[in-house]
Amino acid sequence: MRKGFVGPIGDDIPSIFPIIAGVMLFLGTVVYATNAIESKNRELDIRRTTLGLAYIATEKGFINPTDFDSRCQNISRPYADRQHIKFAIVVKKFCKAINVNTNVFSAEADASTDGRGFDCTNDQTKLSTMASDPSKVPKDIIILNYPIAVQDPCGDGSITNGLGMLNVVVWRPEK
Amino acid sequence: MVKKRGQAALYDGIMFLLLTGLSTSVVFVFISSYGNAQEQALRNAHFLNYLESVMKAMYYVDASNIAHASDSMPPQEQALYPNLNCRNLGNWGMVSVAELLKKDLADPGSSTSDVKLDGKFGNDALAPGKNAMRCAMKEIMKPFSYSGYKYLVEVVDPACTGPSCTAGAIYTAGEKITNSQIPNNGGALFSCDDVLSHLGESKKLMAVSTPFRILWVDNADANKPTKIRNYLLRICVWPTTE
Repeated sequence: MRKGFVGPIGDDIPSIFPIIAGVMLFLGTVVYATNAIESKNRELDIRRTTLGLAYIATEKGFINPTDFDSRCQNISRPYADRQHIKFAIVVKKFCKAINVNTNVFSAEADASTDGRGFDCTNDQTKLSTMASDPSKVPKDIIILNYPIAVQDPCGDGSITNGLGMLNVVVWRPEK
Repeated sequence: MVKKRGQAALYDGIMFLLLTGLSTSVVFVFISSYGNAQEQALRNAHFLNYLESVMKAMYYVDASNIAHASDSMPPQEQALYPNLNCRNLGNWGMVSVAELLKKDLADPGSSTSDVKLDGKFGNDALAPGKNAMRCAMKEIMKPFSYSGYKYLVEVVDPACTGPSCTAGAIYTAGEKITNSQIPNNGGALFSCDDVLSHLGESKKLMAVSTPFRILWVDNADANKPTKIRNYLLRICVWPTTE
């Protein structure tokens, strides 16, 4: 019997390299796929939750502070607590024209003519921080805007209803 | 023989590497499209909710509070909203935009061609429903307009199927309730169906319709003068191609 070029095991050594490379490639792909799918699921989950909160907030085309506070305590906060999210619903009033570059984290008036809005949140500290410092806004935040009618849009005691924007902001609590 | 055994082992190793490479590419293709359908569904749900909020708000926003919508419009906005003057709405106090629109559509006359969205009740009395709707939509649809979407609002009579009412859309005199510059279809009607025809194969048009009941007085009927028109108020939105 002739001996092999290197030996019975030595002849198989070159084949080990592609086998190890293949195994590592496959395992790496599986790990990457798992992480990517999990990340996508988290993003879809928070968007779905935000939409659910938006449906609650935009049930009617008109909003007044009394109803807003009642819904905030009885519906919005319990919903957010069940979903384990942090949220803010900020209603802004616009007297003359809607400002699309508005600060969605603050209920304060944009222009001197606008009336002051109102908000509902389960994390007032974080909301105030985001309102004053844009760099503190979490990367996974979701913001949805909807038009709504508000009473006294100019803050001058009028009983007429004017234009407003309802901003639904959702983010995950920090671990 | 042993040399061939070594070659066979190397060949097996390379084949294994190729197979894992193939399965890896399949996994990557799967990941790249994972969740896209759900994302699109969520986006569409948000759009629809926004359009429904627009319709709901129309019933509450008072016309007097949109009197400044046409103030200080830059030239590009003036091109999108020709002859828009919202100042005269300041006289309408606590009348909502939807109420003004209903007054505009409550034209007397039993024929479909008697009803026009022209800012008048009948032929003479002022009822700027169309103008109120134009001004309100200009403001409320700003997030969509600035994101590259166009919209059109029309009133549809579902019972109208004759040649005088293309796709059931009520005739809108003059400027339409839109921010689009797509040419009118023959200059007479401009409906969501016209937009769909114009968009052709892309057909990315989203529409929301709500019931819109109009009370009108039929002076020709002595027995039951007050009647109801069951219309639909429809808003359609599409990504701009202009």
